[in-house]
Amino acid sequence: MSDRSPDASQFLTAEMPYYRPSGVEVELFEQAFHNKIPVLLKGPTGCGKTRFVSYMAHKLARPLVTVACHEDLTASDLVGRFLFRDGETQWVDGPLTASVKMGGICYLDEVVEARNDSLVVIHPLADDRRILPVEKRNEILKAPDDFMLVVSYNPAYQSVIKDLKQSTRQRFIAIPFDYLERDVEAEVVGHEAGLDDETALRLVRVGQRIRKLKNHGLDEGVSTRLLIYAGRLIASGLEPSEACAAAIVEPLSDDADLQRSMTEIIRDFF
Amino acid sequence: MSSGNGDDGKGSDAGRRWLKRIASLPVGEAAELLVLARSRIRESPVEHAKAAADVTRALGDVRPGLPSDAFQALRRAVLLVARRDWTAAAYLAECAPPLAREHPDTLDWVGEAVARAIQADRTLARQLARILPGCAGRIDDREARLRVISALSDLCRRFPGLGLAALPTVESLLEEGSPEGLARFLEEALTLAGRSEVVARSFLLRESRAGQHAWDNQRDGLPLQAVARTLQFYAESHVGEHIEVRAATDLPPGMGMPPGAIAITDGRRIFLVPRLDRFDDPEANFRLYKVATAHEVGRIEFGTFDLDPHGVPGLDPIDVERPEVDADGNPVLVFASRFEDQALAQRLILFAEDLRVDACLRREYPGLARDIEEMARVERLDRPDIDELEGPEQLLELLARRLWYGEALPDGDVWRRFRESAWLLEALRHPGAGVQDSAGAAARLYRLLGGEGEPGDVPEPPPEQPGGGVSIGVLRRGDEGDEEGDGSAGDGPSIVLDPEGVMDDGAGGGPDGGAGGPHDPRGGDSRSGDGAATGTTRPFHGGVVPDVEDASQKALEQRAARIQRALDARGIPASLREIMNALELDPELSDRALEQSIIDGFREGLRRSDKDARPRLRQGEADTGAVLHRYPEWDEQIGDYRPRWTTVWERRAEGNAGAFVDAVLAEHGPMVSQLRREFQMLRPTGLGRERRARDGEELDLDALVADLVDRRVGLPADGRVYQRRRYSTRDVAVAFLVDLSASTRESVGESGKSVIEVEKEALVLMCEALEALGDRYGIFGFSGRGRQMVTFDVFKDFGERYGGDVKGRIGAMTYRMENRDGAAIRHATRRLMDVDARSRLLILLSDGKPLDCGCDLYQASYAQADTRTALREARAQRIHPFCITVDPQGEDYLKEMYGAVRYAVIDSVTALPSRLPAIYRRLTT
Repeated sequence: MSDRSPDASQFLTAEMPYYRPSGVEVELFEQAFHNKIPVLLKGPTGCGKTRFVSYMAHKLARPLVTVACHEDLTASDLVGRFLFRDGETQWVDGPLTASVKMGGICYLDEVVEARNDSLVVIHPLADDRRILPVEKRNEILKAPDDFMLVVSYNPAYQSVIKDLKQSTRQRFIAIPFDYLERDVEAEVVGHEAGLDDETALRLVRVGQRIRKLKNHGLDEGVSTRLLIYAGRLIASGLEPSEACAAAIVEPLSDDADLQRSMTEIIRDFF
Repeated sequence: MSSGNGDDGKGSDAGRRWLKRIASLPVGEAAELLVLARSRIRESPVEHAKAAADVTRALGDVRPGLPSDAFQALRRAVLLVARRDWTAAAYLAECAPPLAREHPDTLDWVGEAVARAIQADRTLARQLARILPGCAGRIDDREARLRVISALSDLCRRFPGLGLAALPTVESLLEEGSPEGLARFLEEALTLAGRSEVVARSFLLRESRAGQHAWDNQRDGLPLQAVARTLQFYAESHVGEHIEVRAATDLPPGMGMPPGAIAITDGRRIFLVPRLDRFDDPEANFRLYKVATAHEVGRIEFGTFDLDPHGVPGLDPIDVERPEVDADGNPVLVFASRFEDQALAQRLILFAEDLRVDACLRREYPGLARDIEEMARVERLDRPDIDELEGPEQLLELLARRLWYGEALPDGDVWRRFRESAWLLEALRHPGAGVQDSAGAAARLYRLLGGEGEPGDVPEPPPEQPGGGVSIGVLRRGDEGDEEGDGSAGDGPSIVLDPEGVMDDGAGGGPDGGAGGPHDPRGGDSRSGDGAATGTTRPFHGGVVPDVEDASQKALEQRAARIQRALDARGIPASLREIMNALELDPELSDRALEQSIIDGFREGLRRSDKDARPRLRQGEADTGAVLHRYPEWDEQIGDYRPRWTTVWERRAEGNAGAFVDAVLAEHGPMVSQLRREFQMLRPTGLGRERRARDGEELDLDALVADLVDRRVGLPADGRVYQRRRYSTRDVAVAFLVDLSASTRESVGESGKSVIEVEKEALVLMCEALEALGDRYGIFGFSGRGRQMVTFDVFKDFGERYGGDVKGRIGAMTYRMENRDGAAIRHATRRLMDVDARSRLLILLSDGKPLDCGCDLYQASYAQADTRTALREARAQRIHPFCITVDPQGEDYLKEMYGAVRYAVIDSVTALPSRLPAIYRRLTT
């Protein structure tokens, strides 16, 4: 029986990721880290949650392990399992165990996608016990002080079936994320896409208009991420209308009427 | 000319009058008529004498007003018709003079058309004589006119039945579309009629989908319908609230758009003209729709409706009593109501707001500004001729030209005030201007344009500022300094327009510092008059109306009350709510048709019902409230859908007969517990374990040992040594749709139970089984009479708990009237689609053929084809329909009707209670 644990260095980010704080979230996160409180980030897709976590990981100089949650995610996927290879069984740490051992940040992205029964394993880690029982090896890992659990979820997806249990929710402090203020978002889009201020601002204003269609046709507004994509296309020489069609209109909806409306909104600005 | 019959006196009278008329005609014409009339007058003197007198009189009456060639043409046509039918000739003589005046050469064609129609059908020809001249007269283009006439003529001659059906609609078609389009549409109908008259009839009346499409395609321009949803999303993206985009034809009676306007808003909805054909290019028409929509939604976005009508600076505190204006309603109208000349005040504040909102839109949306500019350029060509306007309209037009296009106001001392006041409006374009400023400017302008009160001093314009921006602060200061008007007539009303001066100046003057668009040199002398907006200064600046929901609700209530009274007088009770629902859903339905439909339903219910089972329609619906839905129906004969053909009334079933359920449970005691056990077993266990997996979260020890052993002895091992969990869920929703037609009351078997009772028993057992299983299910019953009244009773909705209420309703389930399966299946499909489930089942429980002998016949192959189509539609939406019928003789038509849909025939009805759960189990596992 052999043991495989990941190397912490590969989970460290070399460069400081670009992040534009828009409130007290950086301070909150730091205090949560020092006070050993797990954090729940909530907000629509593509508004900077993941970027924020990598930014904080770099700032705090901790390795970051990200798990994209999905329906078939099991407790073993998180904790680890025995694998049979070359005639012997090998224990392989799951991402959660690995980050506990490394003393890093474990980030469960889109946590509602995981089944509630898989999530129960994080419960003892996410309260003052800060332990991870690894049943199969019959051991209990005590999380070091620099371990931190971060989960994210998108309240817009909330369906009856997919909702966090209160017992899970109430183990975290929550930092709400939303689309940025117009000027701040323009700054971000301009920076990330390499655009002039004027074009970036127009893109953001297109985004704000389209976001008003949420619940009036769209399930979710256009993300900052998509605006940045559109911006990059424009920056590399595409016509704004074509760039926006590819990066905004088409990804958001297949409904012809809705697409036409979005095209008109874009036309209002370009 | 006298005869021995009873009409003697009258006949002689008419005859005498006729003689008198003839005497007044020139000799030649009188003689011609006499000759014509002679033979027939002998046969039936009275009638013909009268008709001939009518023709003569009509001809005589129009003669003085017509040029001689026009009269000759008319006379020729009338005489041609008169040879065959006097009455038709009289109609023609009455209706054709305007046509004769405009297009005398067309009359021969019209006369010919009517004359030929007489050979086919006399009634039809008379109708044609009445309608055709009017229609032809409205078509300017000669070729198109002749095409329409000849198409109508052919139609009436070859297919009189079709002609009779289609004639009444021709006028409205011509109103909606172009003459060429109408001609093409009629010609297409003629071709169709050659193959099948039935198909052509639905086509012409636009009852079939093909007819509707063909007509839509024939019409010029862009129908709102095609872009309404897009425009609605577009409008919503401006304000982030729900905005309805509707056709202006939906405006309640009494409200309308200013002539020439495209859009109007009530603050929550935007009404647009149903079709735009200003441009040949549909894209340009859409652009115009968009600009108009943007402007109306701009009113909402930039605060027009936030106006405080009582907090307007400089407004006289004169409160004119206007009981008809809702003080809490649309603030713009409340503001206007405070002035003596309400209409003028409304024009002015809207004009001011148009300037402000337009400036806001241009500022906020640079791309939209481009579109607005483009539309403004085109619109400028259509501006009314200043000379043809009078009074305030003329002054407003001058101001509009000054402000929108920078045209100069006329010189001269009398115009000084106007030139000075233009900057007052100009200031509204400043970013700081708000709706209160617009109101203030409107109040001031009102006095200037001749309203009551002292015009007061127009404040001096501030020193020129670069960029045309005028500080709004100055405007406010001026207003504060204004003194209350004392009511004495100032020099405001005395302004007299000097047309000479205007024309000299208007065309030549360049833009003098205004923020308007590029100057168009053709602006001044463009074509005038036609279609120009007079109630608004620009067609895409429509205006505002009071909240239409309140208004239309009132109108609806009144109409419903009227119908209720009419029904009451005939002894038919119907709830107001029910009538209103029907009206709301189908506003085109005439009062009579609706009454008849309710009466039919009521009578049928009485005839069929027992003493206690009263027809559904008379139960008070006020608390249960029916919700109405419309569905198309497939007409096999025409091979097309009839859009919006059926009306399904969904309502919550009533009843409190839970005892029935208890009795069934008691009777089938052992079976119930067995069912529950069986269905519980079907319940997914939640977790399953897959052994010997290639990959998994745990090792499968047995497999691992076997694998190791294989390797040791040198056998190939496959490495399937893991086990993994599998989550299994059951995500099924099922709708039971029960046929409640009257035939289900027939008793079956030895037990003496009726079909409906057995069906109910089966449902009760099914409920028990489903409760044990946990699938979501709904129980619905359908019946009704006629296409306008398919009832859809909800006994148990999907989300509802199976409790005392539901049991009470199921127990009280009873037979009703007819069964129109197609509509009910379509509605059940829609209900199922609203449920979020992976698999959806629709189980139809019926006793046999669909049959609805309401006002139209839904039976035999028509009904079967429609049912089959409805089932196919359900399948297309990935619903699994399954039909259970208890008609043992059904085999022959069932295969035909259910087509590819699975079905089961239960030969012994009494077996249904045990069979239904078994079928369900088979279907879902």
